[in-house]
Amino acid sequence: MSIIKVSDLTYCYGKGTPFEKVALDNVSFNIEKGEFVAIIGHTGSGKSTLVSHLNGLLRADSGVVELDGENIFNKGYDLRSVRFRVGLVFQYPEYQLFEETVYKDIAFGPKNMGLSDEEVRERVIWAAKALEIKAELLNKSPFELSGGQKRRVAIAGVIAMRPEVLVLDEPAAGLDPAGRDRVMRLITDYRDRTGSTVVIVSHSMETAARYADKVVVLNNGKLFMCGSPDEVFSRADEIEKIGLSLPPVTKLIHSLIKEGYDLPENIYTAHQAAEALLSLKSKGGER
Amino acid sequence: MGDITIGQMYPASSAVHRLDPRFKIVFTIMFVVMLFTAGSALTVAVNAAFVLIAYTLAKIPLKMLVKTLRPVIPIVVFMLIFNVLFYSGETVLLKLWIFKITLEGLKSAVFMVFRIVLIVAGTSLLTYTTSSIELTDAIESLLSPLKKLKFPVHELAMMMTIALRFIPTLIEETQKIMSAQKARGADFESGNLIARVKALLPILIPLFISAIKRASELATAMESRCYHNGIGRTRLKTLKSGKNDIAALMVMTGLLALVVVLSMFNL
Repeated sequence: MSIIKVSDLTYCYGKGTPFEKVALDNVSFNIEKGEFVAIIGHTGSGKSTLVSHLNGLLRADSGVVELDGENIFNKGYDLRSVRFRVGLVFQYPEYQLFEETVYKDIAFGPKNMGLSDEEVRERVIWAAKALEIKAELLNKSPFELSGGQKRRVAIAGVIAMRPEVLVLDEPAAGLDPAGRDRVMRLITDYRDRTGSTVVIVSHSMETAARYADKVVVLNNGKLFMCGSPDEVFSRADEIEKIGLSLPPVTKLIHSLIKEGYDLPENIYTAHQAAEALLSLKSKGGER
Repeated sequence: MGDITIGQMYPASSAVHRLDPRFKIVFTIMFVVMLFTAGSALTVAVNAAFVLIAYTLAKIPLKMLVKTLRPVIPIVVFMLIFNVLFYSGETVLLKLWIFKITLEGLKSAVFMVFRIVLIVAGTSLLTYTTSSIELTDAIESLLSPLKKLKFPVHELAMMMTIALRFIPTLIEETQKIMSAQKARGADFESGNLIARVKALLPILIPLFISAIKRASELATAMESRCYHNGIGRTRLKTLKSGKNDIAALMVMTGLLALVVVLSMFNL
């Protein structure tokens, strides 16, 4: 059964003012339990608006978001409880840090859930460990940390609530390649260990191709495509038409296929490419 | 938060939008004088008519006017109650316990309400039809005689420009931080006063930090582009006044004179 079901979601910013802008237009898709979903689209395509609906921060003008089969916009549905079940990490989450110590900041979410001090403590330590935050950092002020550390602390603050669905808006934005890989590795590790559902917003096709089970492509607030990475990336022409580009390796392989080389289409990382090329070579593959 | 309209321009193409901002500032001051000279039903009506006509000329829908007035309602109600209950008048209409409701009190209450509503509506028109940049340019231009007295007019105008420029940015930032904390279960809506004030802390701290950071980044950016005070700076857009401005000035002066004369005769 789908854990989250989005149907006909429409949302408009600044309704009734001269600045009115449709951000989401009849978007529908499902997220299955345990799935890794990537939402991609270029700037202004409605990605961030969409994820703000998943935990009820924004209320749709029309349409439904179902969590475990229940519409979260129904009257009397406790939206606050949704926030604990669907953990949302915003873009540049390090700007939300405010407490005196890293420990207290990670504890903010669990405390709001009304857990006992003992449970809070256990969760903070668990979340810090999951994001490789050293124990000695826990008593430091979050403002003394480096950018990458702050980012991990902010993500830990959401993970500590142990949400069933973890939603991350551009978790790797603004980090150097090493920091980006580290954050992505920690997220996949977390998901492997807990089996929770993960939704990532990204404009990087590479991230989507590499980690996701399902890719949701948005364009101008409309659902453009939805399917497995293989399905989505096999329609390369359409994707490039809306201003997104395939991972460079995939492009290279695609042009090799056009040249007549017998290679698989679904190659998204340098590692996969190397393997495919090597096996082609060992087969003595010529065109 | 999204309902803050004060200080936000309403883009439209109208004669009022095109007026010289310096004149518009002068008109606003004249309007305030006119409103406070008005002490009778007739003169207040002249003011109200002026505001309505000005809004129509500026092509600003009445909906915007209602939106502007909404935050003022509590003040209006407060003033209304105070004037009705505590105004010491002669003609007693009703006596309730220690309070006396008098005709004079009612009159003064109604005048007060009209004044508040009109002053908010009238002065908002200035910001609805003038961008903040035009506004500060106009203030700088109007204050320029003070330069002779070594008053830092340009610096003052620059500070105002920057402050106005960052209001929307800060609102946006506040909304972002609020959402982020709400996503972690923060609750801003329930609880008593102390709990609510405490709940603001997770917003204020990140907001202050980012504002200070932004300020220092802006200072660096200005310095690296060799910004120095106003001496010898030229403008991309210079303010020009035309026939329309003079015509509007004549109308305004006429109206002000009318209201002053009418009130002199207690009409």
